[in-house]
Amino acid sequence: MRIFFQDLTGNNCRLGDQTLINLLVTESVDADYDTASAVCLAPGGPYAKGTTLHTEEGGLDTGAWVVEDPVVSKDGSKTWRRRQGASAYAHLPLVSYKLRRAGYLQARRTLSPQTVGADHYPPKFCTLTYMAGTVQPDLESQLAQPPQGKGTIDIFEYQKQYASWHQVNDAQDIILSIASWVGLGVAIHCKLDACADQYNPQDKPAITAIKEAAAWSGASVYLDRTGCLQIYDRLTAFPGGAPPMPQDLLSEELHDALFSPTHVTVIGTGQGRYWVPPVPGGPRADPNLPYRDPEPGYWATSPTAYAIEVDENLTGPEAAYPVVERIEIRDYQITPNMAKQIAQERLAAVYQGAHVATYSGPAEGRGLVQPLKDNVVAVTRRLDWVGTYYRYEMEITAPRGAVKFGSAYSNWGWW
Amino acid sequence: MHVHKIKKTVKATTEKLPDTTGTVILYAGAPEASVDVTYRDTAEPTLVAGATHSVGGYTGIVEQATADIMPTLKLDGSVVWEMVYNLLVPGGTV
Repeated sequence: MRIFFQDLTGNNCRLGDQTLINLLVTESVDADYDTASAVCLAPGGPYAKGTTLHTEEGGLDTGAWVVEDPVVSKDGSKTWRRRQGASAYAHLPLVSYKLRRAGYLQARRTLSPQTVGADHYPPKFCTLTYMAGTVQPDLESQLAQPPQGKGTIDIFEYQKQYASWHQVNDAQDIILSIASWVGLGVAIHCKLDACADQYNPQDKPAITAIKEAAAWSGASVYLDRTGCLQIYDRLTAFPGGAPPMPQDLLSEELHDALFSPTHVTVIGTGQGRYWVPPVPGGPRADPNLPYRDPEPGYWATSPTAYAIEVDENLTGPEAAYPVVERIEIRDYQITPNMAKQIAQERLAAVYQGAHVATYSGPAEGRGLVQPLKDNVVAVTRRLDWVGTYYRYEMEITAPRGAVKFGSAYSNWGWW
Repeated sequence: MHVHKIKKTVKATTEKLPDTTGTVILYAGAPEASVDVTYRDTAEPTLVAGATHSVGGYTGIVEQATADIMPTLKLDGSVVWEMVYNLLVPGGTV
């Protein structure tokens, strides 16, 4: 026989060093920020807004939070009390907190001059290729001095405009630059192959800009319990294993909703490639030169851009009645593989939204279960003081099995 | 007026709350004090509730008042009424 809740006390259920009266935590990979609300006894006064605190539930550290709004409440009937042993009545030091995940202050910072510094503002990014092929020739053509000498800008303006660009190799560079400006930790768990030629996230919140840069490759973003931004792809993060369950299962719901959309079509352009055939070794025309070594064949990049269209779909009865979502990518070049990845990521989100299971039960022993780990997409925990003991329950939401794709087609499927 | 009975009542709700020490602390809620005064009179009374009233040496807000006629009794040849006034009195003591 297992007895729940008996080990929960005011000593091991706390926010910072304040005893929890109740706590409601919602963690989800689909939300920008995890949120929580807590009511505490705060004899030393409330924590100030902006303070970073850890919740402790049953002795387990369940993550760091930023105080968004501490509310001190006094109520004649609810808080006017005489503590055991005290000689007089006083208001209970009840404080209710609205909490956001740690890192919230950094993630919501806008990419303004105050954040990125005047030297980096506006935060214009471009790829090295775009700089060499487009920006630099364009600037040079505007120069009033030689070698072109027909433009209107002097060398100082040229240098100023040249230096205003942040040249990057890929989207990962952009993400790391933005994270560095706002002071946010980032962990990248997937390949970020795609990158816009140029990108200016001026005055956007940092998390929005990072989400955009990650989304070029179909990746998603989640601010974890430590306040570190996790960048992941859903197919790898949720491979379909069995999720952790509450120690006793009080209820479960198995969802299998219709998918919408059932198909995703990604449309864009890619750089063409052509096959340079191998050159066999052998004697040269000039008999004084040594024999030529054989050279292998290889794919060379063509200057011509080609249209790419990749379609992916989910399986199920509704796939016979397609609901198609078109994603048109115009800002950057893609490959068919990248298009497929973007389509599959979108469909994975659809699948995991419709084909999920929720399990609820006592939360004891499962305080460390969190989204993005253990195949879980969302966790809700509730800790309530019910007169003489804590009641501590949770709900785990997890995808039911791995995403199953139908037979896809691609008109550019040769690499 | 003949006062027959006075009953004093003081009550406070209690609740237990957790504490950082791990022990549960008992807290008393705000107290309520009331006095029930029972008396008899020969005149039919006019009952009011919610108003301040003084009876039997106590003054308070009338929470409830009842009057019963006692047909088997006579006082100075008149019919007898028995009144019960429930008075809420301020403070936590009476």
